[in-house]
Amino acid sequence: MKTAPLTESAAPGTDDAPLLEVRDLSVCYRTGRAASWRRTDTPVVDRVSFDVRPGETLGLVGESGSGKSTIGRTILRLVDPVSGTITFDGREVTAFGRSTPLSYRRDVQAVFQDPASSLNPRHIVRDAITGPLRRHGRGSRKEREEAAAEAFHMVGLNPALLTRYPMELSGGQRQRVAIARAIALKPRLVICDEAVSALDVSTQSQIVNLLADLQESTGVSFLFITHDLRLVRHISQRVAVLQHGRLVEFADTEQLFRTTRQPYTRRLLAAIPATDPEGREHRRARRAAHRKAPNTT
Amino acid sequence: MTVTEKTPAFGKTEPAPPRKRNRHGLVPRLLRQPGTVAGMGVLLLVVLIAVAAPLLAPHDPAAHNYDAVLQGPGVEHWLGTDDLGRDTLSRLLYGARVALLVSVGAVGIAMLIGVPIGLLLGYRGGWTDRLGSRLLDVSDALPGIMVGFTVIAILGRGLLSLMLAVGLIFCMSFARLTRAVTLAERERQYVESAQVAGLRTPEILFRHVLPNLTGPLAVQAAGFLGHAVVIESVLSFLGLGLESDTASWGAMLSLAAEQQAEQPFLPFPPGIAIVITVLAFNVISDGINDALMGGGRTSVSRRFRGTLKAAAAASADGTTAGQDRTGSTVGAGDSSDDSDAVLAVRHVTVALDGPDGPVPLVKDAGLTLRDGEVLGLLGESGSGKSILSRSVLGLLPRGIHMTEGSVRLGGEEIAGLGEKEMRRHRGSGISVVLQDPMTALSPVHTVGRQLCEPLRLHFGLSKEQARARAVELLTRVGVRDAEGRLDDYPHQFSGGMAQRVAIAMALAAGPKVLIADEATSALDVTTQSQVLDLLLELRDEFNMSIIMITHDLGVVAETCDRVAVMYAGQIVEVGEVSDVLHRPRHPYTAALMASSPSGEVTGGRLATIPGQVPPAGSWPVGCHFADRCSFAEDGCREHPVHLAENVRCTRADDLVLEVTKP
Amino acid sequence: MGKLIAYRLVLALPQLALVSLLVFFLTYLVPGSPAAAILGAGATPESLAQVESDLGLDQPFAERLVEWFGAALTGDLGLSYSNSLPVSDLIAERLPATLSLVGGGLVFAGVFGILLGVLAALRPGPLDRAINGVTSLGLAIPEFWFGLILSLVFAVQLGWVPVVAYTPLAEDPAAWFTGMILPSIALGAPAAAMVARQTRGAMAKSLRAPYIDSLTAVGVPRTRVVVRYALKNAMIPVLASTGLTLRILIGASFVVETVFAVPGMGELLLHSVIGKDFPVVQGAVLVVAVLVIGVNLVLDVGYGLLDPKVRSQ
Repeated sequence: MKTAPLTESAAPGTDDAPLLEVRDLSVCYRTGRAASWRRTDTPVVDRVSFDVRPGETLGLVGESGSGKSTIGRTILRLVDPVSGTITFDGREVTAFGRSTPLSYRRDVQAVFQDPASSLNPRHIVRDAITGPLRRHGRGSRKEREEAAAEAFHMVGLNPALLTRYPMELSGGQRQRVAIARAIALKPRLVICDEAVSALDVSTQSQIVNLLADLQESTGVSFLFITHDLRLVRHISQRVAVLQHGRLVEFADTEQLFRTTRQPYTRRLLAAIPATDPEGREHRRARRAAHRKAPNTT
Repeated sequence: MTVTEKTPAFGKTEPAPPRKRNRHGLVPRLLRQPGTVAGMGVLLLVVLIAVAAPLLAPHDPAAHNYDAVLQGPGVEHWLGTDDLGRDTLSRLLYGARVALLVSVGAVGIAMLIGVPIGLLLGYRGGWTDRLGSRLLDVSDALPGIMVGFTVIAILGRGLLSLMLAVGLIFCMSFARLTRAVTLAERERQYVESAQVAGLRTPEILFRHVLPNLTGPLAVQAAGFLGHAVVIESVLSFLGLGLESDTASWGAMLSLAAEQQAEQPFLPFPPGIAIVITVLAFNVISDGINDALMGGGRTSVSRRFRGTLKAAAAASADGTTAGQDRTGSTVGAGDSSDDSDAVLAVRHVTVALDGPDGPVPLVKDAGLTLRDGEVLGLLGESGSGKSILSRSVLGLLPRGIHMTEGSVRLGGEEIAGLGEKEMRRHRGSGISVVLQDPMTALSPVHTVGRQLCEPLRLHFGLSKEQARARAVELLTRVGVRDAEGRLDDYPHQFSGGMAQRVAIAMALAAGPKVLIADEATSALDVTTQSQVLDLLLELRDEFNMSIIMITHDLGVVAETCDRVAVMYAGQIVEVGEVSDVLHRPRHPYTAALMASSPSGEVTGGRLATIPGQVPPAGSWPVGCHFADRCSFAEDGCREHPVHLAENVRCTRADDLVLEVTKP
Repeated sequence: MGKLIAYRLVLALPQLALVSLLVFFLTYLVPGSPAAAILGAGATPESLAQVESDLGLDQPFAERLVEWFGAALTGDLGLSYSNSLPVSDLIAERLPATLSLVGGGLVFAGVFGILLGVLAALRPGPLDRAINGVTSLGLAIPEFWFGLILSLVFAVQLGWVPVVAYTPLAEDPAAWFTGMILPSIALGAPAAAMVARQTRGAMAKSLRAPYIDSLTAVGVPRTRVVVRYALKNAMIPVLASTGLTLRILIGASFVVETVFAVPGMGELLLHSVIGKDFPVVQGAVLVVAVLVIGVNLVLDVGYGLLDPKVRSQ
């Protein structure tokens, strides 16, 4: 059974003008070796539409291979789409051509998953912040260094760490640096691609709270890409669920977690391990019954 | 009192740890390698000799002396003479000039040509790269010496053509290396981050890619400098080098070959000179390579080296292994009595061999696994949960040892058993399922073959019987068309299916105890719940007990009967799952629960635990959690805290911990 | 499997075509005309023109390219400038000796290299360090010098083997074998050091792999885990670099053969290089390239047999 891609009508209330609008986005990856004479284009994102409003956190969830990261990378213009449009603040991103306007590079930033490789091991961490500032023509060298210290302050890092190398910092600290780099340019949208997945629970909650605080004080929007539904419920106002490159559901968080009728979303939700052992036999039995039921897919 | 008080990191900075002296630089690391220093010393000597050859040489290297031909070592000619009576020592000293000149020139030419080509191909990618790489492949078809021959055939003999000949041999390799490094760098997240911030291509190349190229290029250049000395000697030996009167090591060897029946000593001086010079270059090349690897991030040895450094710092505080187990009697983690225990772990301390004595990774840990139960071992990274389980299995990595403690499997002591005796228990007594199913199965053997190993070993089944049983097992764990899939390789399975195969293998010999070490952490959430449910079903069918090692509170809540919570090498709390999760008694357990998103409430803040887990080697003397605990008093920090009534907290009795769900 | 072979073949063809094109261009890269090189300094313009037309050098470029390619495909590599013998015959005469030498070196390098590498990986500590020392030395020793020393000690001084020793295999297999011992060791020693280092690294890596733990944990004996599982996994990268080893061995054999007076391709190549006998240089380069590409093809397929991931790609 093939589900038709969701159309705009499925999107929840759209009274706010969206900051980012993704329409019918399709992306293909070339498979096969680069040297192979016969390449096939495998669709990894198939006609996906959603939008992000100013000051909102949108959760983009899906299992591995759902295409969630590819969507983020397409918005960041690290991957080219096959079809569809991405509109940011009224400007069509997909029509930019080869070069990306500097203003877009300022407005849209990213925080990636792996704190170990998101900073250049050969540079002190301050460079990660001052480099982009210089590119965007922000102030003198001294002012840029002050701005870096300010960004460190905002993410709760001691400015004494500015001159350290990434190797000297812990995973959580590195991820804070990555966030400081992203917010230093005062962006309007930050793509968080599994930004807390590699962290331990106690560190993860620190970073999640930090993101919420930053949103409160700066009004930045987050596209929060993750496989962790539990986290999504905490931090996002709306959720888009992906399966095999297709958008299967796009709804308000509360609504989705409470009343979804979408079969795949329900399966995902049923699979989340609860943190309370109460009633687990019942949940197990229900899952078993569901699995034993004749294959509907 | 609750532990969910708001401690926003926002606006509040945590203290910066004191800066350690920067010993990470490449040069300091190189200078700490005695071999590399020796290599550099030898090389410096060779360079000095080459420069000062006219001053050092006792004779004119070209002067013929027909009164003293083909002499052995002697007073007048220390290293003897050749067939024209020329002084070997003098020619040897002058030969160093040619050797160094050609090798430096050749490697310089090679880098000048190769590096830009590699940068271009690597950074441009696409068609440029595809076409260029095909051209580079041509060098795969031709031996280097042959390229050298051809260049000299075209250009004739001479210093420059010698350099060019050798340089052309190398330039393809430089291009390849540069391309490979550039391609790898381009994929790095920090390069993508720079792109996202709008940095221009030349700036990214210059600031991010080139600096990371210098290391690998230095390694290769040092190696090739040595290699060039050999190729120069080969070409000179064959008469394709410089004009015959010029002293070069290769030409000297050529003469030596002709005269070896007359004067067998002749080949030794130039040959040894070549070997020593090349060896020096190679040692330096290896040294740079090692120094670069040491700067790497994720290798296991690196991780432990990091621990070692911390250990050095800790030993100053007087923290040593086993110091805090003075009073604990039963404890060590679990005070349930052993009578119905399938596995009883008591007072286990595991330590890493450090330069300044052992560094504890797990301290005085104990577990009791009852018949048929699922025991959770919950902890964050660095808690020691995996090390503890490996010590139970007798599979500790090299350099890590169980220094104390006992492990009893069904009443029999298995700690410290030799490889042979331990083998009796492995598979049938105790077995393990690891985190990543793709690496937990050998990628070049069929799953059938691996699955049959324990079956044939433990039950002495024939090939056919083992296969039949393997099919049954695979079918039971939920692999469809098990018969047909026996001859498949692990990579042909999805992650969830491969994990089912790994489970089938672990269960093949019917173990009493199964250790599931983060067995579902790498799987997608829907697959995870299926595999967890499967494990619980199998527990009943196979009549076994399971130790479920996990960092995920949800996995514990869904599957475990009892749970042991670990923090910084210690078990801090043990108990029935419903008790521990409903009424945690240790502040860490409560804090961990509060900071784990439950997925049951929309919005809201998560509780946080300030600070970080202290690394092994820098554990405090007192309570390991005290520095992050909101209930800590001075008393908590003074003495080691023991496990009493299943909780390792001095204030356990006067604290009422209540976890407000975030 | 068939697809894999076809794919490798299709990759090898452009490589071969590029090499032959390069080889053809050789004559154009030489300063001065080949005719001048043949006739020497005292040649008259008439005789030069005569030789050029004899050699077909006055034909247009494209025509010569097509003609050369066509001839090369049928095995006709032209005539030597110096003695007017067919290049293919000259090469065919020398090839067996070169192949014997390279084969011997490869066997030595493979057997000793893998043995030392596995030992070093299994026994960290003194033995590993000792083997590391030996391989460092092995990598620094020029093959031909090692050959000189070996022949000096074992042939000249001790007289255990004859000094000039090459006997064609077809003539006397026993004599061929004894004659090949020293040259093979000389040629194979540095390659053995290289193989040993690769093997040690690959073996150490596969010994650390989680599957070693999972097999050990179900009771598979250590030796079986090492021999059956770790070694097979470790051999994949080693086999993958055999092409490189082979290329180095062929190059080195050109020098080693002169030390042991083995009548191989090296001497032919050397004479033609010195005498600017380009048809021979071209032919030799082409034959060696075909050989290397062919062996690489076989190796790639063998690699595919060992590594199921490659096979099913």
